[in-house]
Amino acid sequence: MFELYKAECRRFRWWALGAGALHAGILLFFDRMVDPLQQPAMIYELVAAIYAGAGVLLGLFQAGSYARINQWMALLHRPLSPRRVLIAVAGGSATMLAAAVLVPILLLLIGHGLIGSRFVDARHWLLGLSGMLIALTGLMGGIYAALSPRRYGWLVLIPALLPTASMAVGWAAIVVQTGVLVALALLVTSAFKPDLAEPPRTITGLAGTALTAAMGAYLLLVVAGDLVFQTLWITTGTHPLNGVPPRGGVTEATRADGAALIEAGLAGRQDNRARLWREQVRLSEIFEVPPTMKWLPVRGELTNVAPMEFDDERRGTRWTFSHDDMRFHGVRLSDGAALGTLDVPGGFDAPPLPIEGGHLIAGGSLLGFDADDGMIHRSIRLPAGETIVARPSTAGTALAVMSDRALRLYDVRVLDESAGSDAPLATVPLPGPVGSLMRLDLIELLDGYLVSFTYARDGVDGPADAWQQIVHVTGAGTSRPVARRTLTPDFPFVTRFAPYWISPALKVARDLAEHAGSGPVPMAQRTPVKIPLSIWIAAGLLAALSAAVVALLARRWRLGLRASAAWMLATLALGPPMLFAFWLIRPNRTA
Amino acid sequence: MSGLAIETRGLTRRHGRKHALDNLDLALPRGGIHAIVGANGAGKSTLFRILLGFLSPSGGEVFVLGRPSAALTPDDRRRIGFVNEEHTLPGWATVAAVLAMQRRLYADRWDARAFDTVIASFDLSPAQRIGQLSRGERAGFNLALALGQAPELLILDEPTLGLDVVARRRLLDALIEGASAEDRTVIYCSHQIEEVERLADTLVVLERGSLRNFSAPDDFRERITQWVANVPFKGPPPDAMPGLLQHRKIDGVHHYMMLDAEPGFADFLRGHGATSVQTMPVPLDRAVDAFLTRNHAGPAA
Repeated sequence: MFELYKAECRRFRWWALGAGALHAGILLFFDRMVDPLQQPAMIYELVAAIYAGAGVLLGLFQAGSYARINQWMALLHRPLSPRRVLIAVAGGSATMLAAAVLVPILLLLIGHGLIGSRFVDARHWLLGLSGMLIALTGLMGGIYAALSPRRYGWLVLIPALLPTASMAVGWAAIVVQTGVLVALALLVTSAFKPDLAEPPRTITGLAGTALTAAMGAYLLLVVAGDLVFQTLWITTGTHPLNGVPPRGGVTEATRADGAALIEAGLAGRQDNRARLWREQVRLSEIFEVPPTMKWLPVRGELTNVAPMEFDDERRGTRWTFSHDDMRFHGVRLSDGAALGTLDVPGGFDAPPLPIEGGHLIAGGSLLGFDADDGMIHRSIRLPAGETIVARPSTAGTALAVMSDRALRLYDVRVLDESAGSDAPLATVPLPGPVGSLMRLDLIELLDGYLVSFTYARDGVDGPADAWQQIVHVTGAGTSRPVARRTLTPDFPFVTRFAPYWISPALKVARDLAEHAGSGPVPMAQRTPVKIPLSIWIAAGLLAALSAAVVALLARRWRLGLRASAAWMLATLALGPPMLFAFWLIRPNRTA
Repeated sequence: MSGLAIETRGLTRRHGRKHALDNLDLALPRGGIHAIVGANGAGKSTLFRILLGFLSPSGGEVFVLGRPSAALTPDDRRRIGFVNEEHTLPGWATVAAVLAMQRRLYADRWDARAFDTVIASFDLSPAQRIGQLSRGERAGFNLALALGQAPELLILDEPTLGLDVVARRRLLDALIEGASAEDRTVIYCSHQIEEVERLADTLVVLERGSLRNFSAPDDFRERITQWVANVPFKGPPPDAMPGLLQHRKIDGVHHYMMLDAEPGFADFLRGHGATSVQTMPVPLDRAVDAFLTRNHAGPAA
């Protein structure tokens, strides 16, 4: 076995050396231009896609060179179990690929650590490990694509895209990526057998393949089905996102200008007070508070929401935040010499996110860097447990700061008076979970504010309820809801709940997989979806019908009683996607 | 232990609607050299793939060295050698690396003498890459490796394509020696009938996935006779001649190739106007050729 492993290593050694040298050269080039460790997440995602693509190509090439029948017989007809042959062959290519990916990254990190010109956190070492895991996942995907039957192999690979949708952070992301790699390696093991055209021989291999194929079919039905449906709808010219949206709907609410939206929110009230507000709405400036940020920095995360550094141009210093000690570390721009650390009294609640105007958002604190004294001052500190989830914005003479629990309005001078009070002028509790809030508009009244909350996230083409609530804030800072209207869904009931009636179990599994290890993410707080009884009934009927079709097919294919029962039970639990998987896998009598 | 090296019962394999193997019952005893011949598409390669577990049968049972072919263990594979007509070896590896791997894999039964006997016909350098070898050199190296592993059962699919005369002779000698001295079973598939004639103890003829002959080559040859008849007129119609394999008319003389001709066949021809009738034995290659092409016989005279 070791001889075979060495032979595969030798086979790819020059390729690995060339790819490693190219990789190191590119990293070195970018290192001279920018700080590779302080790039936004999109850059790391692009690099990860390149690693994965390289792995896929290598896997396709390597396994493809063995997949023809004579080559396959020559490889497997030897006194070694297929599993050991796989370990030797895939181990060889994996070693070369891992070296080409990991060694240049490690050299870069070690170089930074030794020279000290750029700060290296513990999380950056994990980033290198993550790059390697993603490349190896690509390799396994390529091998599986080349060796598995074309009928269903492509379907099994769809769930392997989990790392692109996962919300896991830091070590949890490494665990998720490792899990996907191990699962894919096990699937490759089940496909790595003499007769490539047949489904896996072992029960565990067949079960794993069937479940993964069912999840692939589910994702395909939900995503591709929705895409096809919407494309067809657009071609008919009646799609709500085409032209003028339906009145009173979610799309109209998301597109309306602030004044029209607040007026629509007040439409249900005909009293004098509301009439007065409507007149002020027409005359006043409408302020739209910036939308909530999808991601906020989390300590130990592998990538960055945004570069976690800023420059003090007056002193020629670059401050880079370290997740390890939760301080900024300074480096002189002219020669790279270390200039100590920068902190804030009381410390940072969370890794800070630099925003416009030299300000920083860190958990429940809004901070600012004072170029005069070169220090960071805390402008606002929210009550414990609250997190700022949007960029603060001015609304007339007020500064609107939104947390995951409330909208607070401050005197805008709070940003300038570092030593002054940070008591808010008004606190408006959010009427719903912050993750569901799609837009927030407000106007300044003569005696306070009128605030419009529009809750419509996942409500445009998804299953969430959508509504608008108008809140009046008095000059004394107290608030009370004054109007509420329900926004009607623009998409058909059937498509909005498609992920549920296609397979409720796989919907839950998908959500659990995507949210596993997500850490504290305020935007994950959503209004619970109310699933109508009719959807449950439809899901149950579809699952029963699918199981009946499985029974018929199993009989036609002369499947054993126990195998037939197992497939039927699985289809009852998972619905049509499992029927689809069963039809494509076509298990034989021995499985 | 089963006395059979290969046994198939009702073996069927369909590719879509076509039967590559059709209810094949075959029992090859241990020891000796069994030649399998058949036209292209007769099912030979399909049979070998099923024997080694790389293709699943659509129906029937298959046993190799007493074990179901789909359940061959690494130890079973250690006892079975296989050489395909492409002589598939890793093109990126060196001769030395492949040889070292093979010797290590089969360390407990490696037969250096058999390997050396065949490889002596080739001037290979250990540092040469397999991809740099000619087809003949690759074939020779591959066959030497297969013999070096001293298998109990050796399956050879068109092994001598591309070999020169000397290399071919050495290979055949090695096969004969191995089969007799080591009680090895050799399954030999070839279109080179002169090789079959020299080697084979049993001649298996496959046609369209079905077994058409299972006998010693001499017995098969004796079943086929050539008849030369001078018939001034049209001669008997082909459908009145059961066992007719081939019919040609050369210079006005009819040549009939017959399978299991009836004792009174000469009288039959005379009864249809033949003025003279001669019969003669045929060499094995012509017998096989006539047998395999009987459905493509020339037009009746």
